[in-house]
Amino acid sequence: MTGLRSGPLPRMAGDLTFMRSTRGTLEDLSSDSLAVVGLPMEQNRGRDVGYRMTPQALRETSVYFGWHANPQFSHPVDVDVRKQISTSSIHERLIDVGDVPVEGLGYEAACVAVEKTIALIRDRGAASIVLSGDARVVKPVVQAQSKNETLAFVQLGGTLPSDLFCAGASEQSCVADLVSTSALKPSRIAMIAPARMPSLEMSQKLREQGGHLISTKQAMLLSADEMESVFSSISKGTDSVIVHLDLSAIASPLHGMSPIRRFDGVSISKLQALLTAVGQHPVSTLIVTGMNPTLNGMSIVKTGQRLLVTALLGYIYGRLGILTSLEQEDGESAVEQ
Amino acid sequence: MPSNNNMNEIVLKHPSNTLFDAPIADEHQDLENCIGVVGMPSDWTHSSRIGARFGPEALRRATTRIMNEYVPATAEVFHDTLHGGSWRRNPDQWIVDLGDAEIDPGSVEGTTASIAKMTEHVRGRGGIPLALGGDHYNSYPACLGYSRALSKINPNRRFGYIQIDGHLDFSDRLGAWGHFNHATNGRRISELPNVVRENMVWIGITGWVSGEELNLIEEMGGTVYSSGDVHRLGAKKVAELAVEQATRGCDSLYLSMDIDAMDAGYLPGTGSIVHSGITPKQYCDILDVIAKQPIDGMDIAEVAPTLDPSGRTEAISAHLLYSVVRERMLVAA
Repeated sequence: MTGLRSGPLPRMAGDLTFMRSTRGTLEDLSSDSLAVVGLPMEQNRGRDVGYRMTPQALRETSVYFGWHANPQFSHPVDVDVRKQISTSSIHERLIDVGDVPVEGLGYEAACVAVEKTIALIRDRGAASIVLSGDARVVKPVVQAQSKNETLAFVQLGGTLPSDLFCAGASEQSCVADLVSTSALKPSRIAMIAPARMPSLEMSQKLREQGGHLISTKQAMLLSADEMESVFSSISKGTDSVIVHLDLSAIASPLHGMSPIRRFDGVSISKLQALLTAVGQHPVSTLIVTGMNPTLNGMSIVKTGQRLLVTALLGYIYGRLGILTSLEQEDGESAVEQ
Repeated sequence: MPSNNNMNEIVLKHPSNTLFDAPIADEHQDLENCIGVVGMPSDWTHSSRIGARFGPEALRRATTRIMNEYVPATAEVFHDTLHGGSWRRNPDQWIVDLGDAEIDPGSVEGTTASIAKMTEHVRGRGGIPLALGGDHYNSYPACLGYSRALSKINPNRRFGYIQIDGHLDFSDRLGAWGHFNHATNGRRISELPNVVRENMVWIGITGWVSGEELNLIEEMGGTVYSSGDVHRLGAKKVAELAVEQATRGCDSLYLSMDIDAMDAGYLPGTGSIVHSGITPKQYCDILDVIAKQPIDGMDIAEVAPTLDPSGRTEAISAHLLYSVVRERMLVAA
């Protein structure tokens, strides 16, 4: 293809990968890789169908942030904190391996395919970002890793099981299923900014056993040290951390693309801070769920996917270790001048 | 239905909307100290989500609604619940609408010339061009015409510049779109001969931006206030600092308003959305401060009504314009 173009591709053209990352196969992954994998599946019950479109929607939106593939764009700088990233290594380390072929499969069969894929990624020693539909995908992703690893689990947003130890078939009970089979231990769980009030029984049990349940209000007040303390306490002695990020962590009025309506929620900057903080620990998988791109009409109002991709940026840069401080010559910010 | 006796008193309304229900102007009209509206229905210079070509029409529709709702012709005196005070409609001619510039989708040069000709005409006749985008590239031809007119009025006259925006728009070029597109308008304006580069100020910039562009702006003496700065310092304070910097030694001030400075949760109907952007209230608070300055040229860009089925984008954008023109539209009762 060399020589056909003098400039980078227009945004809507070209091979669709997450953030214009390299397209690769599972065999291309190594312990240095951050894999992106799509799981276009959903519970497919009730009125709100369309979550399965999320991997495609997130990839389309993420192309905006594919600076590293654009030779006309220099090093990006976070304008608020004046931190810059050196994007040159992204091409080697962020690898989009495509979607797990689950179309047409029942839930159990789809789970088998998901487990196999995640296990293969972990076998290569790679970490991954899972672009998914609804929260039912959490179960096979965790199961794929729980066989060989001791896991900690962080959930941002989303719903909670009514009883932590009562397995069931619903989306909300995925975590309960995993606790009941000992794939997850309550002491290794942090539920942050859940979109629904937990039952008293559930919250008591979780706390009694050393887990963390942090409301949105508490999450907004968490300092960096307190975040570190929470994530350290659950990840200590574990092999890896699985993070489940649900769009419902953010208030509905800011996106309107989650069927879980809520009027509070963490801010995007707090969400980024939480993801960056947890990213300092050995996160093996970050699962993104909870967005239905069809709710507002795909390709029209893209606020939900933009929110999620924006939230992921800090995590990805932190995870790849490419964030650096931008030293200003006079040592002052623009505001202070 | 009016009775036949009153038929002679009925003034039929023009079927198309004008900005704030302004009278339609012809090119011979006196424009001294009057806002002259120029539509720029072009989004051929936007690189991704188009729809801003319908912006001028939407802004005219939404501002006409504002006139009917905020300051109805049937009422003598209004109380401004937002800012306080009692007001009347300004009986003098304070705004006219000159219609849209001719847009040539196949020629960015042709579109540029057409828009610049109209804003130069308005400013050259002593008016204040208010250009309605269109994608934000069109801000450049609008400011180009303004700049040319200022030079003709007084070759020594310089102007400061405030851009409220989620993005710097300071690229030299953008991929296949070259040097003239919605990511380069700030850069092109910085190259105009009578802009004071040290007096160029950006407000509301959000997220990751090009480090090279940020460096260039700060090296030339310009100032960037991020949306985080607005959240931390307050909208009024940032606006006051921006005004102080933009008006240093200048008698003229150009204001470019990109609506995408606002968080997409409030306002999704725009081509390049941001998150953690400023709120509509903060945007209005900023404009309340800037509107008191000697603005003699301005534009608003990136209103894309087709991207927001709820219609709130055009409604909020119309309110921004109301904040800018309020002091001209109303007189104390």
